[in-house]
Amino acid sequence: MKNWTTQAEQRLTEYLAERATREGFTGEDAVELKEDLRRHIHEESQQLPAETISLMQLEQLLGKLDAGYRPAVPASDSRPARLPLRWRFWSWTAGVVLPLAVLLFEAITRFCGGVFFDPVPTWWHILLVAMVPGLNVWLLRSRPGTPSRWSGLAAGFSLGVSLFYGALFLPIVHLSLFALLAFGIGFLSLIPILAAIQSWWIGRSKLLETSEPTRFRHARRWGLAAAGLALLALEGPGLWTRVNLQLALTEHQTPSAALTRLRWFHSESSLLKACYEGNRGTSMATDIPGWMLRSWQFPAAALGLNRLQTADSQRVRELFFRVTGKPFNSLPPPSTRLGTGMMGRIDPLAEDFEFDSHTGGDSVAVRIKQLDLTESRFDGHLYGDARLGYGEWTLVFANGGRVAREARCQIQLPVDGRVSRLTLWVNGEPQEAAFSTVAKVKAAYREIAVVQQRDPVLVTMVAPDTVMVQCFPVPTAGTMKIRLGITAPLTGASWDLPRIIERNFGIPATLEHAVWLQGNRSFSLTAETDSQSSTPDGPAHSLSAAIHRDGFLTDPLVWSATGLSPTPESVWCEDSHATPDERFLIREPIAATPPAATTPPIVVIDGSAAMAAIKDRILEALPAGQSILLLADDTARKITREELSKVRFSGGRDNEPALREAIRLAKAAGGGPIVWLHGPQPVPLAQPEALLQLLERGSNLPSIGECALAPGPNRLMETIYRSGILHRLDRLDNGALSQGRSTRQAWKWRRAASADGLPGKQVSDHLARLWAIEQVESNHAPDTAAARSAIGARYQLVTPLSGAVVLETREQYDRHGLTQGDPSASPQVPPIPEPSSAMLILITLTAALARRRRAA
Amino acid sequence: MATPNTVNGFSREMFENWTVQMRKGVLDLCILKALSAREWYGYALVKALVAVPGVGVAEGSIYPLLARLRRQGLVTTRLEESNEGPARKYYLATTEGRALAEEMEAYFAEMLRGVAGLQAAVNAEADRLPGTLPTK
Repeated sequence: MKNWTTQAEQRLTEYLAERATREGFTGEDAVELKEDLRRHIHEESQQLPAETISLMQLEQLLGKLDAGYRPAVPASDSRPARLPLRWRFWSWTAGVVLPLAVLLFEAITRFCGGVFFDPVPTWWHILLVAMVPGLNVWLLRSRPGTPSRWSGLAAGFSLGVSLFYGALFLPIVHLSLFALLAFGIGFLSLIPILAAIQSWWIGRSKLLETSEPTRFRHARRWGLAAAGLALLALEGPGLWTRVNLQLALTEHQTPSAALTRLRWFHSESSLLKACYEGNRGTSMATDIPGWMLRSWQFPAAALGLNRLQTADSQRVRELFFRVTGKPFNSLPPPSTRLGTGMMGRIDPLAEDFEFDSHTGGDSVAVRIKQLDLTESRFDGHLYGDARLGYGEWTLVFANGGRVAREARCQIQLPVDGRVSRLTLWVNGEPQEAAFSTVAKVKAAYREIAVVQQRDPVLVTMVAPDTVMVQCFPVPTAGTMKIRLGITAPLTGASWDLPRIIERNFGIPATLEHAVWLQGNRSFSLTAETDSQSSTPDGPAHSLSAAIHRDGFLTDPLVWSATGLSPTPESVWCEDSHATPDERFLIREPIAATPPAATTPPIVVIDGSAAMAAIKDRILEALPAGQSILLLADDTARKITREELSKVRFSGGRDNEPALREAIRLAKAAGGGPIVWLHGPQPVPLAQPEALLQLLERGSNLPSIGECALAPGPNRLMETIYRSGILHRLDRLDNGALSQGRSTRQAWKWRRAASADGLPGKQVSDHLARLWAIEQVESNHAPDTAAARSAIGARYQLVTPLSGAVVLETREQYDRHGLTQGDPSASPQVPPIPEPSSAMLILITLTAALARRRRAA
Repeated sequence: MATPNTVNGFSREMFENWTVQMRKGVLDLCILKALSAREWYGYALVKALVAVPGVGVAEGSIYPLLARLRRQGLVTTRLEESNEGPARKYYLATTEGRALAEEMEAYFAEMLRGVAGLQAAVNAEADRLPGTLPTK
């Protein structure tokens, strides 16, 4: 190819423009004619001997080409022909300055993002949008000699992106125009549309002046395609998710085709965003795909064809679980932008629009931005002789927002554990809880917290070994500190540390869960992958650990006593809540008997994604007998062990149909056991009454041993746990699955008026609380529900029949008929050496001395 | 005496105007005829057309004609990338273009025959009416 001098190139461009005008060609026709002539001249130039085509050679070629050709008058100004001044002004204003200004404005204020949709949710979007004014600047400043492939590519890309954003704002153009005419505002949303028009015009101008229109057009198509691909990469997954979500919300068959497609592929962030839109919870604006599907409602509403509709948040959250297998509130709420820096910090609108409609309610619900758990401390004492543990979990919540918030969470306690102490710090002073019936404590909390907006904390039981904690208000730019005391027996030699399974607050990644454990014998703390042993600490043993956030949220932390005798001994304690003639409570072990031969349990296995990682463990633990396996995959599917090994666990599966089927089968078989292996079930039941009917009617009621293999809330358990047939399997092992229940030590309780001659050692009065738990929750207890509830309240226990509430003033307690707990009578983690041990040593020494004297 | 615009006793300007009109009509026929037979690279087509005796147009004048024929749907084009410069544009007559070319050619042949026949008629008339001018 020949080289062309700049002057020759420039002259050719001028000639072609003049020739097209002379022939009366405009627009695309002019472009095509110039292209044809240029191609011809290029071919002609190839015939010339000169290596470089200068102005002189070009003039010769043009003379041959054009019979009416007149050589150009030498130009005094070598700069390329420029656009008329007014067009240049509009090109720079609408194609560069305004788009850049509106991008900066939106990035800083998030104005559109807080009202309609977030047009620049990520740095990639910001980069993409910034390329429109950037490329337009480059095109406006480029000379005619710029390679057409680059200018075409730039023009196409700029046009593609600006057209997309312009189209996004088209549905509200009538609102913008009305606001502009009526109030003088609303220009912002018109800017993307103007930018799209101007980008097209700039590209067209470059096409008309380019020396290679074909190449330019070709490159422009590639630029458009590149913009389309970039937008597809950014918005394609979200759009796919939104479209299928929309279909899934309208389809009624189970499982719907749209749900299946979403399980195959989805954008989790888009699904999560949808959970925070709609008619419940917050009123956050949508994302780009959401806007693409919803924005048509604005012009339709303006024309009176439709009403603005919002999605059913509850259904969307349910679908989030069905698709991902995770509760929607197990993830941080969708961030408004990028998290850090100017764009993350300045978020003036979003928070004000965030409304928590669940305050004082029964569900944990939406995650609240800027509400965090900032401190977490657990102090525990292991009573080896009594085979129980007591721990106190102190939690500090901080609210960085502008309105007071309620912190809510569900906490899973150790097996058979119950909350036995509740403390709230009011004005820096610890205030103990009042324990009473669930109805009474809930009524007091709702009035004080929600109506009077004062300081209470409420703890109620919602599922087996699971409590709901509600604290309100966590004050604006302030903190709220609470403490839960937990009493639980050892299962074997182990005591599972409590953990949060559902929450509406964040936990910073830097938070460390400070654990202090002590006991009168050695022990260890075991996590999923790590283990730490206690060290001697004076006459006792202790252990200190800092557990990383993820460690105490997901991994079970097991506290295990070492060196415990396999055969437990009798122990006794002084029960200060009992009458004088029953003052001393004795617990004696019942010798274990070989389990009676029972029918093999029906094993219900949750088909959700959370179970995938545990499949091998389940297969190992499954008994070899003739157990019926039911896969809970939204239906009840009977499978074999081999089929189970091939099952692909995906999404979140409704376990209710399978559980219902299992209960029917068990009833038909005379009430055999059911084992339910499951992950979270965070969505409400489709037909709770049908399930409750099966549990309430008939005589052959089965027992259901449930084993949560992945942490998370479980609405199904919350529904059926009060029926009394649900019990917790503490471990996934062959024995538990064969029997349908865990093999636990059985105890015999009796009382005495005096401590003389009591068998075994005296132990902590927590022993009396274990007795009280049995009394309150046993289905075979002779007492009425009211009497059992009174026992729970007297022994300061949160049970299915009793709850705990801390109020602010004595007047509030009196008004609600509640009695505040006495701090001196509340359980606490003893100092080392514990008083009971010291007392034991003293009593033993005294008894030994007395015996020696008698013998003497 | 002849004026400067008069050669051999007729007006040169008038002759040139007539040839322009003639070429305009015939050029369309030439183009469509060439493109009916096969596909042509634009540059080669232009070179072939200007080489036709009597066509006598500047090379650059053919491209506007081609653009017009394409707009009218008589000619189609396609681009082929070239390593040696701009993409090459190839032309081919459409079905309509080929039909028109055939019709134009038939008409042109008929017209030529008509012109030739007119000479014979003139001669015959001269023989029938003595005293009129002989043909040669």
